[in-house]
Amino acid sequence: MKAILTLGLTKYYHRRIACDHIHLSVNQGEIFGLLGPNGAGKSTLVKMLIGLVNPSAGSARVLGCPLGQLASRRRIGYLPELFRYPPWLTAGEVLDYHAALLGFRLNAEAGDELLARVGLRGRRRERVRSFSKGMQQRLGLAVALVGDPDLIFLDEPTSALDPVGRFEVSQLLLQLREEGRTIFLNSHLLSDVEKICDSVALIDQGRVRFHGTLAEALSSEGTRAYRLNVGGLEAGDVDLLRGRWPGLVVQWGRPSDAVLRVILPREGVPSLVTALVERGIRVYEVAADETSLERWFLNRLGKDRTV
Amino acid sequence: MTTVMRYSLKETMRKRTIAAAGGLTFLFLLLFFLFLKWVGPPPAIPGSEFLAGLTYLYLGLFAAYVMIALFSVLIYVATVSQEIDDGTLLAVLPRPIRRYELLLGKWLGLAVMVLCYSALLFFGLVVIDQAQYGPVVASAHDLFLAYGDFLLEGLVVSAVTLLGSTLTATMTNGIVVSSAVLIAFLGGALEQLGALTSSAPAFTVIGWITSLIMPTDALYRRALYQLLGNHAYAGAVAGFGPFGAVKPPGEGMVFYGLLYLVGMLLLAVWHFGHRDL
Repeated sequence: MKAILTLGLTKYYHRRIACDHIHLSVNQGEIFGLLGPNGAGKSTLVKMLIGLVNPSAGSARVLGCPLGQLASRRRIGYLPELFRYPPWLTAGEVLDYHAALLGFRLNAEAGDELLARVGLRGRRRERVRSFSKGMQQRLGLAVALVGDPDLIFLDEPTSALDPVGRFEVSQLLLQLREEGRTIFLNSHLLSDVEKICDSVALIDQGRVRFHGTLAEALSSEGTRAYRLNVGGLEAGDVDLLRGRWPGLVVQWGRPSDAVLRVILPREGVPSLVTALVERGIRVYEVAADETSLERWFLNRLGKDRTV
Repeated sequence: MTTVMRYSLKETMRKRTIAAAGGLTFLFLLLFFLFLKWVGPPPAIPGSEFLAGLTYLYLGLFAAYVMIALFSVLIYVATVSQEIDDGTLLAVLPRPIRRYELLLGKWLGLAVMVLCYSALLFFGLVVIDQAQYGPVVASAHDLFLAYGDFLLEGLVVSAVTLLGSTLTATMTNGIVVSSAVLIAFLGGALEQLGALTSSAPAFTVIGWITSLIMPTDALYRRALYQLLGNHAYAGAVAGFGPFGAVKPPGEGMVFYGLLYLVGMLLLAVWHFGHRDL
């Protein structure tokens, strides 16, 4: 059974179409990444799936139930993109409230455990008003985990977090997948998506432009960005190399130690390295750039530009 | 629904709404008490105690009418709209709770506050006034009926404000409902004035229209009538011109008020249940 299955899900706001016949499926136990530029219809799609927005047409099943059913909502966790928990409540009370809405009582130990899981150990008695934006986002994650949901919708879960926080959340999401939960991730941080997602969908102007596994997405592109850590670069080398590889740029460095970045097919890498070595340039490292999903994203949207 | 109700009440306590409203109400009652003490007893003319007691009770009840309406507007004005703006509701509504349960839970939680606030204000004024001038109200039965009208006034305002909170922005809602209460009072005052000074139907018609749009003023006049209609002083309900109840609304207005309250709540539930968030 699919965790999510949408059939022509459509949403109009007056005459403007936000989601245009969206056909998607998300397998159980995977991390699914929903990608798209601002205003593409991602949040509207998520809101339709969790019952905050009524579809204009089409249908969907979430955990086997039609949209908005209480039975499926009992098994769903949700972290909104823009949210604020009541500042007058403590972190523990926020969790208690959501547990009560789910129909059970969360004991203090379980509350502590949930908070510890998102990096808020020992903060149960603190008022939300004293929390930073990043801490509120962590609390939002803890709230999404109340009731051991099978399906978790996360809308930009790391937008307010520092690099350590982003790493911790990525690890948490991988753990949740190991536990068999399905995660629906809506994020602009493509490097995070690339590291943890099993499958992705790209939406633009309300339409699905791509839907498949991450590997399919990246292999469909043909070209990738590569970083080359080199030494012994001399004046004129770069201009000469650009004659053959126009997209080649020096990202940073000095002649003795520089990083070059270039976009080319995998098969083109050996000839580039050979050309560099023939010119007496020392090649220390060649690595596929981690933001290749970004390149794919821009290409798919027809917004390719030389980086 | 009880969970939402409980947290709505907790919110009023945490935000010190109860402390602030209770403190200011006590201050108001204290000032009323001190004023009656300082103004002293009326001249020793038969009936003058009644008249003084009535006058000051009218004054106090008019202030209570305005304060209850304002209190209801202020505590309900942001109930839904602010929580949508903050994103608080976005995290709550995907939970297995129906929207009407959330809305009615919030309304009920805050309605307890309206009940306590209006009771404190209303009975406080009556007790202080009667302590100074002797029995003004004919019977306890009349007293509780009058309080029922006052409470209904507060609940009517609460339901309209709740509906407004599902429809529009917080500030717009506050302005619209406060203005509606004021317009209802002006319409009611014109109706009373017409009953005293003119037979032109315009006075009555405008009073009816404003009462149908917002029955708060009619309920206030009805409360005055319940309280003082059986008073030993025959001119009790008519003696205060546009502020009195020379032409009190009938029992039908109480039923209309109840229907209006339920209607507004149903409209709020219907609209909130269908809107996209």
